[in-house]
Amino acid sequence: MDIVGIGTDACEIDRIAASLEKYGDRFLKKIYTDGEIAYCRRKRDPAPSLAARFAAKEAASKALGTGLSRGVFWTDIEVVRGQGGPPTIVFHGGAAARFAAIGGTGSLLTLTHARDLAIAHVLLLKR
Amino acid sequence: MPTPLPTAAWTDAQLLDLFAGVVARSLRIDAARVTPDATFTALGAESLDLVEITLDVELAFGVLWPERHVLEIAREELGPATVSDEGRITALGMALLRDRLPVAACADLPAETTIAGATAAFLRVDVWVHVIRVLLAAAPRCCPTCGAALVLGSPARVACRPCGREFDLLPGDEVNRAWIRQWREGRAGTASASPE
Repeated sequence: MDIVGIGTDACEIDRIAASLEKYGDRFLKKIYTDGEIAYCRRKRDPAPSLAARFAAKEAASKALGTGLSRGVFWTDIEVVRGQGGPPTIVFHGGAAARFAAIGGTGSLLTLTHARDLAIAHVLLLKR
Repeated sequence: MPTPLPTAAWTDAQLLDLFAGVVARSLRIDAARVTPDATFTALGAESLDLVEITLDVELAFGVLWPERHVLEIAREELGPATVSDEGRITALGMALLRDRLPVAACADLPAETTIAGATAAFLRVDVWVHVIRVLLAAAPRCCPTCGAALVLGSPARVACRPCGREFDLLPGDEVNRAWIRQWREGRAGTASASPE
């Protein structure tokens, strides 16, 4: 396995909570997939999970070498969580095209959050 | 009494003035810094700021911001003649882009740039103001029944107060798609009208 991309990002949980408070569903639908929104809404406080996913999308876009707003859009990068399994990244649209173009065949994602900050780390792998 | 929404008849200066206020409030900066040639990077905007600015623009101008690049939609409509399989913008794609965004940032793009390169170059105030202008041109502003000026309704809708009715705003991506189809027909008409 070769590493073809690496990205890390941190997101302030309060900032996401403030955006959610101010913009509500409009904010969620700009950034998150329906699956991500449903997952985070099941939490008592969705802000930490939303912030972790925001950081994951940023980290993955860095790993792809594109950043966001450059042909790769927020909902092109999805954090999926199987039953009891670790979170994984699924690429759609422009992100999937970029992932294929760099020869990516797999990815690893880790998420964590403390009281104020959510952090994500992404590795893109090529078999 | 709600303020009537901006229209495509507004001057560039009026659009810039309202947009500068939106950006300045979002980034907590002096609106005087939001000049046409300013980049969002220079203004200190991060990715979350850009998302918030688009959400604020939607409310301030009564439009729905595009979610995708106009050239991605062009590729769906016109195929790889606009963007190659390697992601490079072709001569046809560049012609479409320059017709859609007649601003310096677009005219200055090097040949065979990528969508990613074009998007990065478009993170400028004048480009965003022009995008607002093209969205306004497709946005309903008068009630089709009574002719009254429309105001913001529930999210993604505009409302006629006298009639008590609401109307959908066209998503920005669909505004671009309709324009691309017209652009294609215009070019086809020009080509068939040209002498051999």
